[in-house]
Amino acid sequence: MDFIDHITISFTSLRSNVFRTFFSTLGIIIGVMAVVALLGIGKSAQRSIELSFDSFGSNSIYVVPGQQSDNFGPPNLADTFTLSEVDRFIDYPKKYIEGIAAQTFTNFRVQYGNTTESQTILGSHGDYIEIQNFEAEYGRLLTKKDSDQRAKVALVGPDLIEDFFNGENPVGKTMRINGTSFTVIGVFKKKGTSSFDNPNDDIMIPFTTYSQYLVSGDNLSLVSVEAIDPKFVEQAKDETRSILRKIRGVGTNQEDDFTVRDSGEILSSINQITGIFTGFLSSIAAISLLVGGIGVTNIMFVSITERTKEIGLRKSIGAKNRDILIQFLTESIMVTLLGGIIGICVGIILSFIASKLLDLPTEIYLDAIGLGVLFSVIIGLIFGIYPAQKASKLNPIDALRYE
Amino acid sequence: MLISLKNIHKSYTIGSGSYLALKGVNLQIEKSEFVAIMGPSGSGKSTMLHILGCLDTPSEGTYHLNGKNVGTLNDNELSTIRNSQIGFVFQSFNLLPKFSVLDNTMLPFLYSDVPKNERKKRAVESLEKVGLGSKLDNKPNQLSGGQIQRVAIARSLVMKPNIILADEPTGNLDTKTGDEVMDIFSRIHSEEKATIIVITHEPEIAEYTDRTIMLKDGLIVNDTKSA
Ligand SMILES: Nc1ncnc2c1ncn2[C@@H]1O[C@H](COP(=O)(O)OP(=O)(O)O)[C@@H](O)[C@H]1O
Ligand SMILES: [Mg+2]
Repeated sequence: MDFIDHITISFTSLRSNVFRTFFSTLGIIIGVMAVVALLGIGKSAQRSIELSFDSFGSNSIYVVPGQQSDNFGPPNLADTFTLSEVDRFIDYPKKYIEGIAAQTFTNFRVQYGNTTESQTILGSHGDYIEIQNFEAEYGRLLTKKDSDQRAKVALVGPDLIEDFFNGENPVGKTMRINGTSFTVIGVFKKKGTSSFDNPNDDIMIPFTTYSQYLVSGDNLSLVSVEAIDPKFVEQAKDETRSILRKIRGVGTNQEDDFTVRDSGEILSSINQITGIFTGFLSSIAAISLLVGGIGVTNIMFVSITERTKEIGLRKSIGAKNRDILIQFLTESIMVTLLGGIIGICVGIILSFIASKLLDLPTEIYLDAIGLGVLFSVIIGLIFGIYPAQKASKLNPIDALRYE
Repeated sequence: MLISLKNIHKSYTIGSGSYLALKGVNLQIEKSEFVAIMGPSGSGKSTMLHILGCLDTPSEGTYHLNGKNVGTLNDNELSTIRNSQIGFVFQSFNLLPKFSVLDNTMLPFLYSDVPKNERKKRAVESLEKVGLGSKLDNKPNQLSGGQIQRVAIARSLVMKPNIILADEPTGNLDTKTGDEVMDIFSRIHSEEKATIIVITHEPEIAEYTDRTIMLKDGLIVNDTKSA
């Protein structure tokens, strides 16, 4: 008896009971669907986090004001860096640091032509443009000269062309931010986005201008530092700490009043959180697979009881125990595989919809498909083996007599 | 000697006790004999046929088939004998309802090493022998009782077995179709030189055969060869 024979027999038997076949696969469908959707959504989320960090680069270091005890949490908004602290940091002689930038942002009402909308205004200082790898699509980028002159100029995100500037190239146009006129000097090239961070609809102006015209004071909420090389990130962090302690006058026995992290640390703490999330949902998937598997065992017992006479007949014409075992195992695997394939399709559709809704990048879930197929085959095997073994051990005479 | 039973006992356990269905059967059957087994209900006819067909094993005694002691064979070897040397025909037909006449007839090939490209040809030949060459694609529920039993006979023939065992093959049929079925057995016997053993209640059916064995209470009480 070969593989094709087994498949044909199982198919004939399953087809003759379409309704029952479908219901016995339901648990597997739900379980595999959950696995695939989870993996898909989880992957998209992860990818989007990575994307947003890619735009910073692996040699980036972040400094937030205040002492952060846990790995990942909001900065204490009461603490800030001042512009003069950042400027002293920039001017300080450094060995492992090649770029320093600082930023802060607030939403303001922006008026262009007849439209007035609330937009995110980002005040940038230092090497912000370079560290974040901004490039100009139209016009030019912000320069140190703009900063020194406190020029009322703005670099705008590419999404704003459609969303705010009525599809026109805004370079050279004037808009009013919180009542002050600014000239648009450039549009930057579209950057990778994520649900956490979409710079493409920001308006960027020099921080010096920001602190003079938009907010009083010169408080910066985030300083980013670029190490000269990814392998010197640790040295750059130490250097950052010792310089900032001097500038901010932290005493020898006092703790830092700021927190230094590199992008790897932040990424891994985010991964830890998404890991807990997917772990929790995977256990739900595992439970439905288990329930589905038990359902398959059940349905196989029903099927075998109904076909006791058939088993007796097959044995009387020469079927070996192994033939019967494989026949019913093939059948249970086909049931779970069918459920698995339906589950994979539904799961892919679900994760596609979810990533659209959550605005995450859509990924191709090849390993999710592989895992779905693998899971359903294994479950068919595990939950089919017991009934199949019972069937194969039936005494032919008793089976033939069964009514 | 094709079949040789020596002192065959068969006991069934019922609850805490046991029931002796065969109490020391001695029997020899030559190749190409056409034998009827008769006897009252419960006398052990089916039990004996199952032992002859290697579907069941005796509790005591030895069974030599073609000179081989069946008692020494394992499960797989017994399956192979059932597949290649023995054809069964049951009173209740035992066709698979979802399968066509042709597929039912080809069923024994699944467990054999007959090459795939010969299977259909041989199954059609068998079906033609029983007069069903035109019903290949019908399902069993589209056939009459006599036709269904003829499919079962065709199925028992496809492997060209040495021995055909039939347990009351006409028991569920009226006299006329019963006679048709027995005519087929007679013809197979004379044409194929197969050994055929038929259990029956009816003396008229036994008249088709060359030898009648009477069983009573698990023992052979009479064994007569007709002309
Ligand atoms: N599997 C079994 N378990 C218990 N008793 C059985 C079993 N098979 C047959 N018997 C008993 O053995 C006796 C002979 O049965 P059987 O060979 O079927 O008789 P026959 O075919 O001559 O009518 C009967 O009394 C029957 O009840
Ligand atoms: Mg009987």
